[in-house]
Amino acid sequence: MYHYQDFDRDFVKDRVSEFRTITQRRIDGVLSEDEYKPFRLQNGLYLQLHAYMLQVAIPYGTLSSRQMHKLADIAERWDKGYGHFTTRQNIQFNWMKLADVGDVLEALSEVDMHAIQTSGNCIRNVTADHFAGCAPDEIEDPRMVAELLRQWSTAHPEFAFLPRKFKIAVSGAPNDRAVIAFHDIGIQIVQNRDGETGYRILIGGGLGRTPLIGQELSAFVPKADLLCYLEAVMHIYNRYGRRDNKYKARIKILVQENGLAQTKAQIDAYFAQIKKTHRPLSETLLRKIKDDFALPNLSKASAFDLEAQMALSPAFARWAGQSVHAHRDENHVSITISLKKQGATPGDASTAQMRVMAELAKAYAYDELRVSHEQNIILPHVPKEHLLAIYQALQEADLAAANIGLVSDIIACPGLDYCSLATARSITIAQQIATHFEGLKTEYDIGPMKIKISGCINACGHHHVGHIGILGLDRAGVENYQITIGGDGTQDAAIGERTGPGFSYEQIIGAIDRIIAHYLAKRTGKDESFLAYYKRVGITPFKEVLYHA
Amino acid sequence: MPDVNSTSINLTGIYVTDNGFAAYKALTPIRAVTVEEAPEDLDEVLNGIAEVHISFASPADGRGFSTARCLRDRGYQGRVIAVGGLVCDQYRHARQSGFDGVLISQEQAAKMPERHWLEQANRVAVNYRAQIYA
Repeated sequence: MYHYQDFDRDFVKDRVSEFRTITQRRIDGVLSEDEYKPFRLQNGLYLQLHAYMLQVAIPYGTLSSRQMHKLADIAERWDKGYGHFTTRQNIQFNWMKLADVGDVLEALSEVDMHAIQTSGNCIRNVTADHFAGCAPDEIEDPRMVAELLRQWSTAHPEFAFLPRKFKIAVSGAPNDRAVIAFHDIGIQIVQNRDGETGYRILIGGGLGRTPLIGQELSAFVPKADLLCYLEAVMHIYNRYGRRDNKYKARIKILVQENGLAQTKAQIDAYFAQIKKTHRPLSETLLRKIKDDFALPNLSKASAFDLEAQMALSPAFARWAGQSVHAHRDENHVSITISLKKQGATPGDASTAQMRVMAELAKAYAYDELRVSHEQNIILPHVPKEHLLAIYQALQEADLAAANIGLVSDIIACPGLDYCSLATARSITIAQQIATHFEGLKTEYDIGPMKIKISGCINACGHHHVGHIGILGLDRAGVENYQITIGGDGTQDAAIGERTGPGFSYEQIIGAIDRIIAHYLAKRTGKDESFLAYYKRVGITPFKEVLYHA
Repeated sequence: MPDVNSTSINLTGIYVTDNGFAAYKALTPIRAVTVEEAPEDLDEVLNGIAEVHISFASPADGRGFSTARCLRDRGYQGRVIAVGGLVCDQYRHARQSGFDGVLISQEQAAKMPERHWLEQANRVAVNYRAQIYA
């Protein structure tokens, strides 16, 4: 992983001292909340329903054990003993006291971390495939370009006061695990016919109140041109993006209103102008990034027969069946640690659990962890021979839920339990769905299923791309949950289709149950996934069971 | 004074540069460039113009940074000044986007004293570009 240089470290330290100075002016009453707000947002500090929330940046979700330990220390000392991993591969602490935040940022800086640009109308934390560097289908590790983008976008002078926030995701493989089609800019690493590696660029995707699938802005941008090309994209957005209405200010609306052709023409023209004088990338930096993201020195195999071990222990087999993923090295696997134990808050980890995960990474997995946008933790490189030991340690830490990719592996936003924008609860809906199907013992029979829940129209829970999406709204003071079906955040990007009128808080679990029961009864067999079934039959049969049964 | 669109140009105030506050002295001729104008259309208009003023409607509206950047990309070499709603925390952004300085009112100066601007002026040289580009 990327190791900070002096410049990175000095930059973060300076931000901490700047934060302390300006926050002290707020505490002393020299600054009003309104005057303080833009500044605190640029440093990741939100004001939520009950308290300040600090969102800490985890660039492209990659962490060392030392960094994970520090997050645990922060949760223990300054929060309530837990943290919440987010869909931006970050972590948020929900119970911060303003007077403590400077100390928290100082603690983060000790392990080369910060909370810069996790909020505000700027380029946010760049996300990437959580299996970067280990996925067998990968062309190139997307974190190398994500790191370059981190440096380029950090404190970029021209793009700190954009019309609205700006999110970039990178995938290094044809199978998209980074939801690139639903980002302001999606970057896919591709090879052209000459075998040269470059970037396919998608623009204008997004969720929120206007869900749109990103369109192809360029089929191939050569490596050397990427930053210059993105400067052109951002420049055109900064100049022409709407500022009259915050709900129409994302780049997706600019592309939608002006059309892809006009937007592309503007970008291409500006790109041609700045390319003439654009400085080449530093070879030193590119070499360092390449070295930093090289695969760890993978251990040679000692004999371990995964299949035989799975045959010996059904519980281990069930866990391994969901949590173990193929690695590009045949003696290694990647492991997803579920933060979705049925009945728990999706994405939450306690101080003790963070420490266990850090220690496992250190002892068995080359000292590296990842946060997935699906709000789980990943050990990217694990020698197969350590699987049993890891499984046992996870069991002891209450982290061995064998539900990755299943009906209880739910993405949920914080909703009305924390968020000042929320119109409905989402965490309790996730908890109830998970325990409902656990009680029925149908989770494994249902098979691959992505349920995603948002507690307001801003769609932080990604409900539009859930196989089943749930959107919690407020109808005259009463929570009301709309259902969408058939959303897909992968390379087959699709926006879920609304079934019809919403359901009350009391009715929604029953409605989800009817959807699943219908699918189980009518599928051709276990080989036909929920999504495949929906694609075959459409939404009508689901409407029948929801509204006419 | 042969400025082109003088009604929109403020000729009083305090000029903030890396050296701190000074009384503003205009370089003429001056042209105000609005953020709605496309710099691409202004090459001839700006020929012979000594000073360009770019106005910020509010601290949240960052279009002026792109206007300045684009003018510099097109080779404009006169003085470029930010006027209007910038706050001292944005001094760094202005300088790094191609502005030479910021023109503020007496009221702004009273609210944001010189030392706050100088603090940000010290950050002008600190940016990732030195590390990223050869």
